[in-house]
Amino acid sequence: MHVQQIVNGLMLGSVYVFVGIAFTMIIGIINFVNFSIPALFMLGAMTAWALLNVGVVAPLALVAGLLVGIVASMAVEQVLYKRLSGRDPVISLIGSLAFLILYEHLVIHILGSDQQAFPALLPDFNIRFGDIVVGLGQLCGFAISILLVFGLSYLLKHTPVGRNLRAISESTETATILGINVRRHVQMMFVAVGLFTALGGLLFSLNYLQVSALMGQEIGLKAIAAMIIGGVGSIWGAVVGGMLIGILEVTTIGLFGADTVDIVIYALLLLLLVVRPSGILGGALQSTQRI
Amino acid sequence: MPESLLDIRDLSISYGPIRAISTLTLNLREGEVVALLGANGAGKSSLLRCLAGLEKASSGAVAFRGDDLLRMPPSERVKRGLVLVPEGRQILVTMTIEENLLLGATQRDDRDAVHGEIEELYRRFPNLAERRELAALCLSGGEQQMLAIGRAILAKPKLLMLDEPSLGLSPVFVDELFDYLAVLSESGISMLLVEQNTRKSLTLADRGYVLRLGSVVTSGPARELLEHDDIEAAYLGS
Repeated sequence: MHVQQIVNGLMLGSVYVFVGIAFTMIIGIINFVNFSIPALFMLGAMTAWALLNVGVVAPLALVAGLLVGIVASMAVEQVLYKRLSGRDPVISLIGSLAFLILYEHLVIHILGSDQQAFPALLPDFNIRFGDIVVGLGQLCGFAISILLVFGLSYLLKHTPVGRNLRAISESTETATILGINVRRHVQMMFVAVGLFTALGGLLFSLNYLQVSALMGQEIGLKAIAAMIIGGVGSIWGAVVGGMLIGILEVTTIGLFGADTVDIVIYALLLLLLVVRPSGILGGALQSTQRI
Repeated sequence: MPESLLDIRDLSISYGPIRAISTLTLNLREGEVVALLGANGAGKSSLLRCLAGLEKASSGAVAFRGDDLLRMPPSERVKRGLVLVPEGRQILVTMTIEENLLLGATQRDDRDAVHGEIEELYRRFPNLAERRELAALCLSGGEQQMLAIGRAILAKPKLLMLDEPSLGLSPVFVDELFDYLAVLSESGISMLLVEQNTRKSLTLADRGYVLRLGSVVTSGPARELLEHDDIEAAYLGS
C-alpha cells in the first residue's frame, strides 16, 4: 500500500517536475519569475482537447497543443523582453501575471470555464510489478520527465549552448561582451519553456483525463512550491521538490483526505523557508552547478 | 598608409541629461596602438562601452573596417573583430578557466584552431594551464587579467579595446601585462587602450588622445605627448 502510494506520488510529481523546471530555468538564467507558465500548461491541454473535440486526429491535436504552448511563450518574451533586460523585475513579473490572466480568460471566452473530460487516448494498460500497479501513461510521463532532466543537465554542462546559457546566468553583460547573442538564447529558452510546460499539460490530461481553463493555477502554484522546496535555480532541485510534493500529496490524501493536501504542502513550504531558506539542494550545490 | 580601422565622427553619448562624450572624433589605423588618457569621468569607459555595444550613442557615426558599427548588435561587433577587455576584467568566476577561454571564441566556427590557440595560451601562462579545470574564482587579480586578455584574443580581434587593464595589479604583473600587450601589438592586433598608467601606455602606443569632460583636448604621436609637460596635469584633471 505504501509503496504503491509512493509510486503514484512519483507519477504525479513528474508533472510538477516539467512545470518546476520551466520556472527554475528562467529564474536561474535571467532572474525572471515567469507567472505566465501555468497558462502555457493549460493552453497545451485545452488546445488538444478542443481539437480532439471537433474530430482532429490525436497525434495532430497533441502536436498542436505543444505548438500553441510554444507560441504563447514566445509572445511573452516578445512583449516583455525589454523589461526583462532592464532594471525593473517587478514590472516583468506583473507583465507575466497579466499574460496568465489574459490567456486564461481568452480560453474561458472561447471554450468556456467548465471542467471537461479529456478523452482516454492511451490504452488502459497497467503494468504490474508484484503488488504495484503503474499505468502506461503515468510511466511514460515519469520516463519523459527523467529523460528531460538528464538531457537538460547534459546540455547545460557539456555543450556550447549550455556554456553560453551559464555565462548569461552569471552575467548578461559579460556574455554580451564575449559575443554571445543573449537575445537569441533567451528566445530559445522561452521556446523550451513553452514546450516543457505544454508537454506537462498534455501528460497531465492524458493521465488524469480532465482539463479546464483554470487547470494551470493549482499545478503552477505547486510547481513553484516544488522549486522553492528543492532550491530555486537548480534543475535537480525542481526534480526533488516535484517528486516530494507528488508523494506528499498522494500520501496526505490517503491519510487525511483531499481537503488537507494544500494545508500540508504549504505549511511544509513555510516551515522549510524558516529552517532552510535556500531549499533542499540550494545550499548543497556549488554555485557552478546552479542551473 | 595603412587603412583606417576605426573612424569615429562627432560621437556623443548621454545618460539622461548627463553627457559622457560630446562630439568626439577619433581615428585608428590598422596595426596602431592608440592610448586614451584623461581623468576619471573624462568619458573613456563610456566610449569603449559604446563601441562594444553596451551603451547607445545619442548622435554621431562610427565606421569599423568600413561598416556602420552603431547599427550592429554587440555579437556582430565581436564577430567582425572588435573586442573589449572590460574594466574589472569580468571573469566568469563560477565557470572554469577553460570555459572562460572557450567563451571568448563564441563567434568562431574553427574549433580545432581554437583548441590549438588555447594550448598556446597555456604555454605562455602556465599558471592558467595548471588550473584549467578549476573555477576561475581561484585566480589572483593578475592571473584574472591575463585570462581576460587571453579570452579576448581567442575572439581573433582586429581591434582590442582595453579598459584599465593594469588597475589593481602588482608592479610585477603590470610589467608582464605590458610585455604581453607589446607581443600582441607585434602580431598585428590594433589596440585602443584606456590606462591610468600614462607613461607605460604612451610608451606602448603610437598615438594618444587626451580626453577631458567628454571631449578631446589634445592628441598626437605618443612620443610627443610623453614629452609634453601638461599631460600629467591634464590627466589628473587639475
